[in-house]
Amino acid sequence: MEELLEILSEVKPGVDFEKETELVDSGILDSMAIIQLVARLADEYDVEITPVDLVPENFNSAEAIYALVKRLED
Amino acid sequence: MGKNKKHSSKKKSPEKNTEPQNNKKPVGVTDKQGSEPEKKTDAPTDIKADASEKKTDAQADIKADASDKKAAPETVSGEAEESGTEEGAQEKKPKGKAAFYAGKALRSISFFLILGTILGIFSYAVHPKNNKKEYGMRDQNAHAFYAEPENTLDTIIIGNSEAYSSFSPLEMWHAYGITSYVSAKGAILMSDAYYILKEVLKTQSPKLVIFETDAVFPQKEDQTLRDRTINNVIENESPLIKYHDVWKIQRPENYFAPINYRWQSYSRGQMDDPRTEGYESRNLVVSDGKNEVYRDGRINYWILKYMDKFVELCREKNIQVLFVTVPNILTTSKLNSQAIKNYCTSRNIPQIDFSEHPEFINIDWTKDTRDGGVHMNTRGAKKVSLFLGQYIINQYDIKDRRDDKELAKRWDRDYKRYKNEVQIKRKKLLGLM
Amino acid sequence: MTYTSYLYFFGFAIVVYLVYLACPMKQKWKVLFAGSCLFSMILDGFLAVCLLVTSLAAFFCGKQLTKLQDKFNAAKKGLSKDEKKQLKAEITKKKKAVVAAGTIISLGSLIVLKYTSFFLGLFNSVSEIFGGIQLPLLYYALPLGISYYTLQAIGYVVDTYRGKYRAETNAAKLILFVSFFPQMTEGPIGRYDKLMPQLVEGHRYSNENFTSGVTLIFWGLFKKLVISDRASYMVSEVFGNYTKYGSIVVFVATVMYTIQLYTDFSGCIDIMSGTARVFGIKLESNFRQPFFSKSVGEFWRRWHITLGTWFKDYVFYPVSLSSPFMKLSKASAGHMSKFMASIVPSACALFVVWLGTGLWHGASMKYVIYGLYYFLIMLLGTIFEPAFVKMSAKLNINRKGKTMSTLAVLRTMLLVNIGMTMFRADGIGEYGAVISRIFQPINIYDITSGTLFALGTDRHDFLVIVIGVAIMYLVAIMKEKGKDILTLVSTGRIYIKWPVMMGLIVAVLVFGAYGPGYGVVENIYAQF
Repeated sequence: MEELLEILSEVKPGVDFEKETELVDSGILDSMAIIQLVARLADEYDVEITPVDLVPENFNSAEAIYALVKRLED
Repeated sequence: MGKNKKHSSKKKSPEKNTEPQNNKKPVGVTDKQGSEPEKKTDAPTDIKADASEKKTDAQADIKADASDKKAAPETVSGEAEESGTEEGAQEKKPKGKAAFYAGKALRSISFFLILGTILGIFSYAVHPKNNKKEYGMRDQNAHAFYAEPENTLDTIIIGNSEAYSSFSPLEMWHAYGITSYVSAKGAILMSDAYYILKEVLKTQSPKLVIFETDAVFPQKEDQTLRDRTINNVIENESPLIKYHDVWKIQRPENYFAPINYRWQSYSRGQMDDPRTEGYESRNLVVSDGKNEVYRDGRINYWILKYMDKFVELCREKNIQVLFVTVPNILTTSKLNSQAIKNYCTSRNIPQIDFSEHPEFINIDWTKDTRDGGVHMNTRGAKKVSLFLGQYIINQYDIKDRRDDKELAKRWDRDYKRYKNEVQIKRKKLLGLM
Repeated sequence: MTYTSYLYFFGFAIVVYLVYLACPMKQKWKVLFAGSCLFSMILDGFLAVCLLVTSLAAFFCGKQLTKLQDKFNAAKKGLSKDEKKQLKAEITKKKKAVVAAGTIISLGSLIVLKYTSFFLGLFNSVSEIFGGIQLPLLYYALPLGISYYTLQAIGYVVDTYRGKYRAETNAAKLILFVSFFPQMTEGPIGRYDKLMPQLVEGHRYSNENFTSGVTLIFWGLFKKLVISDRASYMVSEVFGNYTKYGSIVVFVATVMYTIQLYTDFSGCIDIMSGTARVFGIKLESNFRQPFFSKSVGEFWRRWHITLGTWFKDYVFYPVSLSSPFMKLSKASAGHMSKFMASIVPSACALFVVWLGTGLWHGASMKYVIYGLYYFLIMLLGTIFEPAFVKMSAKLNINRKGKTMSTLAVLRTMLLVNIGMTMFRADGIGEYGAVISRIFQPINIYDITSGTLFALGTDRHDFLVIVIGVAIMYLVAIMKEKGKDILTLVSTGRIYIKWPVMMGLIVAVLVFGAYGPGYGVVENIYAQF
């Protein structure tokens, strides 16, 4: 989780990722940021994120992203 | 529920609470029983009727129901009405359902009544109050017959620009004492011709109606003739749609002024034009695509439909019909002429075809047209009108009206003015004025 | 459209609706199916054929994809991890072939019909340089709505490939999904998982749906007939003869055109969504107050939303996640500054998206430029973002303050206005000429002489447009603040509902630019 928050703040500095629960819906993470994030995640965790996973529900909060990564790791 | 609502606006009747109460009704109440009495409640005397019918339901609950009703607080009622959505209706027992729908119906009716009233007010506000262009009347020349004294016009001529260019009522008056009027619009549609005729017949009782046939084959436009006709019918049936745009020029004091069509056309609808451009002098472009007309001799269904209605209307009122095709080189075709001839034969309508028989009037194509063979000029119009006047006098029971002093005064005055105006126009053309 | 075509459309919709109400719940979708088929056939027989081909292709591909997935799911039990991987790769390969086939059939027909002449022309101009052969251009009659339903069908196939949902098992239902008549000609581009259940489900008459649907229809007619068509006369006069007019007139015309474009498109979408709503079906929303956007990127998330999300889901994401792009992002991470490394890959993917978006609008160079214009603006915005942040911090400007936000909104409007003008111009050359015309010295005579009001849109028309836009603006502000007038009207009391509905009906009938004296104005977005 710590690692993920670090990646997140690298992609989009200045956001309180621990608290935000509407990252996509409120427009903090736009599609470009999501792609950057996905590239980093793929690198760090060695997971394959496919377009079908790219839905707002999976990226609205740090927790959701973490859950996604965990799910894909299995 | 329908009637309950009716009171609610006036009396705030406590009965309005029926709806929720009905939910308590036992299943035994059938749909029929429930709906029948309610349907009747639309009657004006429904308060009593309602009460008596309630009794016939013979359900113990009903009485309780009624007494409940009286005790029910007023405030609930509004709520029940407003939130009466679909879901609510589904849950309700049959009687409530019927009441619900009756209320709905009443609501819809009052909605449309109010909307209709508002539209009516707007419709009147935008309606031209005079038959002049400045007041929003389109084709004012076609609509100046309103200002003619009632039942003084024996002949009515209807058609498109060919008609208003080729017929001169004042020449016919001067030569034969015929009172006629040309009610013609450029590029008229057959349906429009029918509606104009209908309008004319409101104030005039002509003995003869002449239809100029060029309008049977109109110019092509992007829209199909079907759409154009439907548009036109809607406009003629609904003044609001026809004149909706008049708000732009209507002066505020005229919004609710009385309608008074008193503007008179001295030329009786003719739009004479002394310019001369002969057929030969014109560098001919037969088809420039833009002004293409239907030339294949097939009368469009929607044209035919309104031609029939036009003829029928005349026959109904015992008015003779005459079809005239004026001299025209460019926009007619052999096929079109044949089609009109066939139509006239099949409907037993007399016809004069000047295009086929220009020799009737000794037409001079170099001098008698204003735009190279499409429209007659003043000179050509005189030729056509004199021939036609002669024909009318010979063939129809139409009298010389020149011995009617009062009428003659008007018409003679206008004939003089006509001649005068033609002179002025000629001088202007020659640069003398 | 002429107003008779509205009458036909509503007449048709009313008949379908009455039959729909009369049918039992389970049969209701068949009414929509029959209605949609009939509608396409009435519009154009060729369109009906194209729709059928596209829907059936999507249907069979979808079915095959789900079948393959099921096969994999059944077989994978009891396999070791490596075997599983191998099997998955095998199945994925097959699935890819199927999805490619499906896409090629529907996209292929779109490309052949829409872009043949464009590509032949492109080939000719290249070949001209080298003195090669010249091919004759082929123009096909483009069926209405092909650009919309094709995307819808592709979205469905790709989603079944991705396993987002199982394929439709009933061909008729899929045909209905692709060709549902209110959204057939101009979208919004629907998604299977959101639209299909609503289409099949069957809806009873509901007061709320009916009133909100009808209100939405009249709101759309208001936008289209009262504002858009009225503005169109001046726009076509000025764009047709732009050399005659000075900077102010041309600028006003471009603004008018943007107004026309927005009210035309969103108005038609409202009419169609309203029609669907009467049936109890909610179409995707295509606009979210786009002119409140603070950046061009935001604008495109609020304007023609269904097209934007379609490109995001089916072009941007797959392209950015594809292995060449992943490699690119890794490579750039090694060679560039961190910031640039984060931008380059997505910029490349966005380039593809905007090229596609541009070309989607039409087969012409101007649309390519149109797409790339927005791409460039957004790219520059992203690149300079850090600089802006720094600068405003230094100057002590609160970028989120009211003044700056308003300025940002105005800037976006201006940029969008420049972009949208490209739609109207006949080509890139003319577009340049029109835009340069705006930057000529201002001539006050343009205003004082009254030229502005003599171009087919007189001062009365301007007044109506200004009032109309003001009403739209108020409604939009309310919506931004979370108050949707439509919900207020459909659920509210009579004293809100009736005045609004009656007001709209009267406004459309009295102030609509229709009937005698008004030309026919085609829907702009139906041509794409």
